[in-house]
Amino acid sequence: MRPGSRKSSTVRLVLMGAAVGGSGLLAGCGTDVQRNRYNSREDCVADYSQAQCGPDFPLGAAAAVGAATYYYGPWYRSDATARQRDPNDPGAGRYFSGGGAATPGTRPPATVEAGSRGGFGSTGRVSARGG
Amino acid sequence: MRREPCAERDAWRERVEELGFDFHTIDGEPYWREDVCYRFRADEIDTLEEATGELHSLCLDAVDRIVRAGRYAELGLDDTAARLVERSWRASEPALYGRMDLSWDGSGPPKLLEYNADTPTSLFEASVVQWHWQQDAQPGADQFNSIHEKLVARWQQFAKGQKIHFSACHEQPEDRATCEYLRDTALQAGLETVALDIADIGWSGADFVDLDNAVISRLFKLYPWEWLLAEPFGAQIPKVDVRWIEPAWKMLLSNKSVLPLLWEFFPGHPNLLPAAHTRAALAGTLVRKPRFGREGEGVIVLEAGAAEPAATEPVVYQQFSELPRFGDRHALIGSWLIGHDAAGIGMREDGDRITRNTSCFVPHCFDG
Repeated sequence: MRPGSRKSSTVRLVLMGAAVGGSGLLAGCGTDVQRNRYNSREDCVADYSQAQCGPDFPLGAAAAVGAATYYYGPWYRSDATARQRDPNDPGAGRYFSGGGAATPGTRPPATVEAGSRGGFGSTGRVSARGG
Repeated sequence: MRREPCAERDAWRERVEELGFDFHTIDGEPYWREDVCYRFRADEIDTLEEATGELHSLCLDAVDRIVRAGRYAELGLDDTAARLVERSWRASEPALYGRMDLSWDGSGPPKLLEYNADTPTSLFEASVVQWHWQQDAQPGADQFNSIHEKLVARWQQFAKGQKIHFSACHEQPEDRATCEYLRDTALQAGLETVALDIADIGWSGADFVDLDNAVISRLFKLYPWEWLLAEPFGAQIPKVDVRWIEPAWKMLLSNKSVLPLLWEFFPGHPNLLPAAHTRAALAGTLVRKPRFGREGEGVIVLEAGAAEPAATEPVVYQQFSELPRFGDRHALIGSWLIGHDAAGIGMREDGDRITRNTSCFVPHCFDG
């Protein structure tokens, strides 16, 4: 602020702007998501990149009690049309996207885990939230 | 404090849309208006700034008193909410922002109608859109609006170098804009940010996670605390060590039941209106507000002696304070707090006595 002024001297934006409506935000409340579970990191990396694969516990398992660890790909939208619309959606992985052909020497996803998501947001779909 | 006709800027819609303000018109009705503006004197801005600071001090004092006395039941908060409030207050978890709605006609002390302490919106239009309007349309005047600079500075103070997730219901344009604007200011403060829809937050069994399964440790949520706690993941909140923005203690101040408590703690304070949980405790024309109401939802004016419709949820009563009228428009002052500082105002106006989410935002300036 300039001395004596009570106004910001500059208001610069680095993120907002004309493109905000399509800025890569995942639009919409309550969209179903899922992720692929693999029995090994190699199986996962056959479908996704190294960075997208990591060990995790099945949803609902308590890490502290030593639940089995699997390898998971990223969360992606369950609805294929919604996936196509969203450039940030990581997709279902090469196995499903390629019509069900596993990379030689690897196994396909052991299972697809429906996300434990949507646990927040239900009230917001029907009520005013701002103030 | 005057309401004046103003010349609209050429192609103002395109100008504000370039800023990212794409909800200037809602359902065909104007939300942003710049064919008029509010003009203040510098001493009037002083009064608003001082009143906001004073009310902020009262509110912090009230939170401390409520926590010390454990008066959560009077605010309709259960044990889980109470423990979260206590944990966050005792840990001095910092607040980012809030907006006090004031009734004031330029004379006497401004009166607090309510404090949107948890999920205030209309931030982007107050901080950015009206700033650009003033630069273009009133370059010789000043504006009470250092919201942007104070937001960037606030992020630098309490989250330096941290990663923060920003979550809102993105299908609502106003929520998306508010959340994205705050993320913008956090980026400018040097923070790492991740945006995700509130419904895309996941639970790993041990932590809240984002869409990359990264653990969420700091979460800005443009989503009311009472909704978070009532929804399926609410049961997990006490189990995790997440720094919430706004912190849980803010749920005491966003709750309309704090208004009777403020009046009890500071009776007769010039910036407060008499308020109570029962109609009989007050006299004259009153306003009845739902405890958790937002955007004017469920607010009714009760003339003295008039029949009262049955309430379907807990309510509070507050002495009616007529908003100043300019022609057929009622003007409300939204006074912003960033951290602990009064940072600026945004004007809303409506043909009705109750300000709602459809009430127009009108820019302001002041003569130094």
